[in-house]
Amino acid sequence: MVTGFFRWWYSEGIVQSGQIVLYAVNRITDFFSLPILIKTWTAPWKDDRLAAENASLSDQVKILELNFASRVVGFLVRTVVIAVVLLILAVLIILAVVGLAIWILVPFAWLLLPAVAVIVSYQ
Amino acid sequence: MKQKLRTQSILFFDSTTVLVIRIFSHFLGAVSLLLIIAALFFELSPAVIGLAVLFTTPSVLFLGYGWYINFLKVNPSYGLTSRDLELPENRLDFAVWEAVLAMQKGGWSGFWRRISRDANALEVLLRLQLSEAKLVELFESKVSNGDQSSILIREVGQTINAGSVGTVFDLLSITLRHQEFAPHFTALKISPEEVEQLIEYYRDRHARFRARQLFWLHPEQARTGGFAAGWALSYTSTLDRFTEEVTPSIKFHTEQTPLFSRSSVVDLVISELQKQSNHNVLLVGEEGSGRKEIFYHVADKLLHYQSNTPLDGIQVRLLDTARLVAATDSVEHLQQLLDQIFTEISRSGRIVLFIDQLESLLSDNNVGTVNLSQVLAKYLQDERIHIVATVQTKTYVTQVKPDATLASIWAKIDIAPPPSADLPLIILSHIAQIENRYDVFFSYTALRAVTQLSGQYLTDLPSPERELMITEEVAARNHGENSRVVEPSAVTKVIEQKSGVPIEIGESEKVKLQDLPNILHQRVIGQDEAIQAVSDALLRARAGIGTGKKPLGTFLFLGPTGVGKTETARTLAQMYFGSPDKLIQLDMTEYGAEDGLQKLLGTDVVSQPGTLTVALEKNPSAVLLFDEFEKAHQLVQNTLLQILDEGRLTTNFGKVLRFTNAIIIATSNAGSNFIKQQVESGQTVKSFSKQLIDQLIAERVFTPELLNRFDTVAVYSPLSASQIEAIAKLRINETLQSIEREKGITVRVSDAVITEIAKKGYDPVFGARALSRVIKSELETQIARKIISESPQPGATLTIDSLSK
Repeated sequence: MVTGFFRWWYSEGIVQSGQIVLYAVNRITDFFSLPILIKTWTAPWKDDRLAAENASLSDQVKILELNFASRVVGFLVRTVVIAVVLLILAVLIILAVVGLAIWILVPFAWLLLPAVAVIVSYQ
Repeated sequence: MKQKLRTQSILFFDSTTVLVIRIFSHFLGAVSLLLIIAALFFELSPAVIGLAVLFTTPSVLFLGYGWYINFLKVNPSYGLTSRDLELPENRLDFAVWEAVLAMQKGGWSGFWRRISRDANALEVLLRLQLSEAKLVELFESKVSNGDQSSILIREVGQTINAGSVGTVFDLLSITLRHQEFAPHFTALKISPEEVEQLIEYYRDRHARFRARQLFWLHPEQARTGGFAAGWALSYTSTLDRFTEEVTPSIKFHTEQTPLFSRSSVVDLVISELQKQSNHNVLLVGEEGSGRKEIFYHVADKLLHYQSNTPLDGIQVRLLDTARLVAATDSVEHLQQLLDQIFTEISRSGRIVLFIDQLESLLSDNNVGTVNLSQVLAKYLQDERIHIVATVQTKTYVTQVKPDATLASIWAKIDIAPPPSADLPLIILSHIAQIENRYDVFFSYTALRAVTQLSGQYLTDLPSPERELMITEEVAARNHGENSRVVEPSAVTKVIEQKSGVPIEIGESEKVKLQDLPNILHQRVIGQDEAIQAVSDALLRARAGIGTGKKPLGTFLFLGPTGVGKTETARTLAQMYFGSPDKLIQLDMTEYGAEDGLQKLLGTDVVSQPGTLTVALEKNPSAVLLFDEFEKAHQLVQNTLLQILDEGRLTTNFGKVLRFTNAIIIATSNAGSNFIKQQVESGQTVKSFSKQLIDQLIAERVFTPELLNRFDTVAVYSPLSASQIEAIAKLRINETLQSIEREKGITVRVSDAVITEIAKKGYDPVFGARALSRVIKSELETQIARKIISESPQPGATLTIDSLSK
């Protein structure tokens, strides 16, 4: 059982932990609609666009302006959200790397922690 | 024996001693961690910090090892080589090994005690009414009540597929086949197939639960599109007012309620929805047949990106038709709102709209009838509009199908009720909510009684809503009873009350059935052969012999008018269904013309339901009397042939009428003259019955196919003078009893008066039919005269000696 534990910890255990981290990445990107936001990054906000047939030149210019404004709003809001998602993902990846380091050390906790305890006590 | 060692290690890790040590070490670890965190903010001595670090060690180690143990419990084949898996003992999971180890220690008793503590096995066993005590008792007398673990291990190894691992369900599947269970299952009439079906249901449910436990392995199933998915869709203010969004949380519901054999309909709906044309789906079926449930499963698949079509991630909305109709004051306004709704859906392009009960928009509501075809026709070709609607078969036939434009919009999918094999599984998937709400527990036999009896006696209600409704009603009635376990008798009681049909033969009914000819003779005078034939047929029906899906009894009564044919039917209604009102009488002379069948079953042309349809829908458990049947149109007679044969009939509205709880009686005067002649020449009914039937066939009054379909063809003979007098006495007594009940006055009628009434009431053409008229016009008038002239007080007695003034 002990050798089985070590084998699992450094093979399937790490794979499983990786899968859980990947799941978290998936959930975060899905929750914040990251794929949709990237696909529609420059699309008008709430698909709010105007169109008119046989409009005068000045009206066509106004429509163009308003449609452009709608796209700018959409772009800005989506950019903010995408930035927040990327930030959260970055924090998650840092935590995952730290977690991986701890994971690797845990089976040797019986050796490492007492050693740390001795070092700290005699400082 | 790797699995045995693993199980022993897991059991040791989970043992009480180790558990106490683990809890203590985690407590110590938690306190130490708090100290280490505190050291970041306050000054603590290095020795304290050192000790704190030291005391976290066992907690960290237990935590890591605990994860490994949990992993092994969920993945029993981890680390086993193909050579290891060749040994049957390595192909058992932790729970099975635990039971095997219990057997090695304590024989079969130990084995069943351990199995009864396994949550997965326990539910199967309790449904089969096998408590721990019962299991131990059944195996107490087993000759070899010792360690038979090696046999068991081999048996499980032989059952499971290559590469898989034996679970507690495999173990149950094998052990419940042991002969020790035979008397128990025989007593409960549970077949091995039913046991296997129950085990398979729980195995499947456990697999779904396990998949949820390992959620990280299926991230795609958790996909929902996220909160910003709607930012790419346009504003839908009208749609928001009158619809509700179906959210991905619908998965919690759909996971609990699988569709079983109807799950293929979900894929069919999705494939229709993604078509370029004709992509709006109409689910046609009876209310309560699960159409909305099917839609929820469609919604679940689309919302969780599981359909593998461009529709994945599309928004799903439910139209609140009641709110929509309530918000309008005219048909024009309603059409205008629908116009806006569809325009918004089209502009958005990523919405599936669900309209439950399309009839609420089609039929006459408080603002009038909407011409939906006009509204929808505009959007027919629009690929951006996707609608799924439900409609009843009757509405489809009467309102959608005749409107070519409206009918062409939809891809029609018929939703049939679930097959009977699915019904126990459907109830099981809903049972937890019902049992928790009412604090009861349904045995498997009770669940089976729900499906069997409701299918047999509540044919007018749609399935599976019918079964779920009955289950809930039974649970509600058993709430607070001493025993939490619901037995089949509780189900029988509820269905008896709902259907009005006596299901269980009680002691009093046993006596009644055995004495049936005499009881019928209390109201029907003479006609011994006919009464005996009807009594025998009824006896067969109540014993459950031969009827199956056919009506309870089918009889053809032949004979002159006024000899007791209708009275027999009325008495049967009283006897069998408890009330003379349970007699549905149809005069077939009204159905002699070509439109007879339409009058009987209804016509979709003018949306007029038929008399038989209405009567049977109102009263599916009754005596159905087709009076003067020979006068019905040939088409009507042929229709009856189908009823007698199959016990069911599909109306012009597509509704299936079931006659399984009805007693069908057809009466006919055909051959009356022949009967009279034979009786007058001194022949008995028995001697000329066959001759009469041959004559009716020769004269083409009835076809041989029709006559052969009846359980009994009974011949009624003309009444003799003494029989008429006996009937007169019976009717007069009824009248006198009624007067005594209402006025408190006892009336005595002399024998001379009875004889006079019998003479006056007998008519060679109309038999005893004139009796009631004579009793009313002569006797009741005479009694009334006496009451007026003598003003008797309640308790007084009046005597009628003559009918003269």
